[in-house]
Amino acid sequence: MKALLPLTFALALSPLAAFALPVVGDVLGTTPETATAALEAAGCKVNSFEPEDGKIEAKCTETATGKIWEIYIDPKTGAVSKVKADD
Amino acid sequence: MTDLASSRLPRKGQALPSWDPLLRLAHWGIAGVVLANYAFTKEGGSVHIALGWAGMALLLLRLIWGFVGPREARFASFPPNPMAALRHLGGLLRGKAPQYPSHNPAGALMAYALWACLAVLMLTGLGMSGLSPFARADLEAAVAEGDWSVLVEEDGDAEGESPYGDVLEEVHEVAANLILILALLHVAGVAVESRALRRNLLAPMLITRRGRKG
Repeated sequence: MKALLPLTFALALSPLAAFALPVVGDVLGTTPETATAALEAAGCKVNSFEPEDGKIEAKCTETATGKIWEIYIDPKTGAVSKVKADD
Repeated sequence: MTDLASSRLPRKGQALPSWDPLLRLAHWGIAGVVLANYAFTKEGGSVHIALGWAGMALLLLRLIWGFVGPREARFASFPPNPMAALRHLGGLLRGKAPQYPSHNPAGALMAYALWACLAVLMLTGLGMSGLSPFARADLEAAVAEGDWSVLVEEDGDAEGESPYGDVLEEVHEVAANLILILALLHVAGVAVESRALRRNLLAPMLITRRGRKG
């Protein structure tokens, strides 16, 4: 339930606010479905999820710029642990 | 077989080194692994890791071969000697560099530099990936199917995020780029020497000369 709050908030505000990428600590969810929805609400379309160093690495394309990001999600808490540009 | 020193041939057009099949397998196998992992496989993926393991096995084989293999494959036949390497390159410019029964001194330095970079590449790769490409393939399959719980179960043990992960990744990438630059120089060196001195240095790395055992 805790994970749904920021997701709902993000979804509700998304049409009004400029898209903002998630930052460390944001909770995106602990399943591919919730994380995909949360990332898309933040303006980043998910390409893939992969395991990386005990975390989930979500690769997503920022819709506004076309830039690819690596968002690391803690699979236990659903929180973002690192955000990195894909180079 | 002639003595190593006396078999050194100062004139062009004489016998080229004859590389044995295992050496050639290691040479082309490692080249293939490096190219495939640089250009085609997904970084950190199970195929990338499996190829890295194959490359590591080939490198180990080549290094052991440097002690127990045929004479021209042994490290003793091509000790690192920067001054001799410079002399060889100078001779190459003048169009009369001597021929050697194993690597020439410049080629020897290149081989040692490549092996050192490959060792760094493989050790940092191992450090990042853990020990098994099979375990990695299982994890990828589970996550691809939407099951993130496999990571939760493993978290807290060996799968926790390493504080050295970024450093390992940087060193791995620098080593990979360096290997590619060295490989290009190596190919250029082979091409220049083959052309300037009319020695086909590529052929012995491709085929075994008839009438000579490896």
